Amino acid sequence: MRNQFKFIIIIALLVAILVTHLFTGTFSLTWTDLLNILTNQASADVRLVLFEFRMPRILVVLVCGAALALSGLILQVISKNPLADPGIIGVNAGSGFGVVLFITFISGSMSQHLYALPLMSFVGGLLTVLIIFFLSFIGGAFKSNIFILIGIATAMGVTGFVYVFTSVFDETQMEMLNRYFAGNIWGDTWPFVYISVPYILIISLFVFFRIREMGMLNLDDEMLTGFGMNVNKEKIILIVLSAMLSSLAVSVCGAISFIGLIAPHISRMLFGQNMKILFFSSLLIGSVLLTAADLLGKLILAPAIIPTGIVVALIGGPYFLWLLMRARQI
Amino acid sequence: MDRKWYPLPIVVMGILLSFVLAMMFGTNTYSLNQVFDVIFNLDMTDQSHQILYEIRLPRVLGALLAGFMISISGLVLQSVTHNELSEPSILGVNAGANLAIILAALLLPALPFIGVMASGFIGGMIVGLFILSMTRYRSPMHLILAGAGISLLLYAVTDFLVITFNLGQYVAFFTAGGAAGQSMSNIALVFPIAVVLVIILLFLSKELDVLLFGDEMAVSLGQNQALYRRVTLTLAIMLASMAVAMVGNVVFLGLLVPHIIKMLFGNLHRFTIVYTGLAGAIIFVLSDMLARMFNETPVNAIIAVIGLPFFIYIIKKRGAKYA
Repeated sequence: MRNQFKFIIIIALLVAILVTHLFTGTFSLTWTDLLNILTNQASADVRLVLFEFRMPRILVVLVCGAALALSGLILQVISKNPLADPGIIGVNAGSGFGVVLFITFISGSMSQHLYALPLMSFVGGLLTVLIIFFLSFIGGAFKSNIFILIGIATAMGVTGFVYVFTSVFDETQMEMLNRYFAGNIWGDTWPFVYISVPYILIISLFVFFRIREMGMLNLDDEMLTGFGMNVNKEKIILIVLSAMLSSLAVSVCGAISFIGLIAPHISRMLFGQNMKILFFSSLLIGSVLLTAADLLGKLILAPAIIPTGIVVALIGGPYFLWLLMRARQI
Repeated sequence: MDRKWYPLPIVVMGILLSFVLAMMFGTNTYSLNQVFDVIFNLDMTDQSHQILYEIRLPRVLGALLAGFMISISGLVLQSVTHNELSEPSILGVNAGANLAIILAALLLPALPFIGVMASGFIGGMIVGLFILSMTRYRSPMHLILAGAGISLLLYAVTDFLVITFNLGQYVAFFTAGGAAGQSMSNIALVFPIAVVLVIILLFLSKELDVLLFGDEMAVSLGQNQALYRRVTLTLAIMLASMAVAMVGNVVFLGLLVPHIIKMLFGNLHRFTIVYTGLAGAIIFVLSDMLARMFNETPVNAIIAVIGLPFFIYIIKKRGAKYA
């Protein structure tokens, strides 16, 4: 099959998921409602549900899925390991740490500090990845396997450490933290869209301008140095971009793993190794996966809602295991 | 008598000392006299005696026992998998035991503690063996990624069950890890089993030493390595899953303690099993004491603070092997 057809199919799938997402939920909409909105005749209820509840959530999920996928793609390229994922190497745990600091030291409800929470979550995730990254240099060279090992350990350790603060938490604070770790998409109102979506798009653009370098990083580091490339510098730039993408996504979506692992992998299976195509297909597939997971979480146990992060893990986990079993050497 | 047994009395003294310390300090501090009175001269009409005997004593003993089991489990797993980073929680044993315990609580609410323990064992065993057979003892990297991935998946399933069936209270305890809420009858049940398992491991210490040389060497020395590997792994996973049933998901302990002991005492299992167990008990009971003093912080937090830098140190030191 030609690449164009594959892209068309993926986009069609995405559109189908988005439309279903728009229409279903506690308050289901119909085609007539949609028609009414287009012709400006819809009731206030319908407008409220569509513009204040459904649209912002869909936008956040759509863009964060893409961000996580792109972040995973970058990590996989840098670490030369097809199993790297921002969630597995500690971004979620670091962001969780930021969230816990927020809950502990900033009193008041979330709506009073709309920007502080994502900001702290973002800083936590970013700092964690940077620390892990700088610990992974041995003898002046970046060691990708060490990066992943330290990342996994940090994810474990920081998650444990996060619970230091929970001893002083009351029930609502504890619930907030649990919601974060279950990957419950809390940032589903317009203000969250404004603070996450534009930045994710801008950072993705920066990544797009480094696609050529990303493609080359598949080669041996010594060889690249021989070609005159400053490998460490490129890796640092890319890892900062990747960490920014994933921690931005996680700061509005909660702890979501596996998207960054699966989306680039499916892209590679479908489209091969061309980095430019991989870039776009990972973005799209990431969006498809997260919106689909969000939709399933809404539908499976309706009216109860399963946190999106759990749905992602339930789908992504088996896929990950299958990858592991096939992998000849890592 | 081997020279390496000389420090044993000191370590045993350490156990006694940490026991007394852990009895004394916590949410409330008690005097040395009160602790001795509780042990030698119990007076149940005294309120402080009651608290010490009914709440703190089981907790301290439970922590000692759990630390003992988790550390030995980590040691054996490291030897058998030829992997310095093996540990029950890394191999997914904790996540498996955790899920099985939740399932058991869901399906058979009136299950006695021994049933909880058994279901934890079955869960931990299935997951541990699954990961090991799937990665076929390949690279440490492979094993750890598999463990991390499958743990994420199993915790998601656990979370799913918890959210759907409103088990929050019951589960928070297992994921955070902690020695609170032990009872003497549970300890009386686990203690003999743990001792028997460890004695069997001690009898197998020569075989474990040979396994450490590598599989080819083991075969050429005429050892039925497949058999011993299976037996020792089963024993290690049993120890770890019993500990999960008691104190929840404790991370890093099974990694940290064997490393310290191997640095001090070399690799012969007949020493390392004993010292690892005792040192693990000391470290865990003291961490639990600190946790109690810091406002009932989960004990994982305390261990993570010590364990994470240590883990990073090991990785950086042995870096060349994994890079």
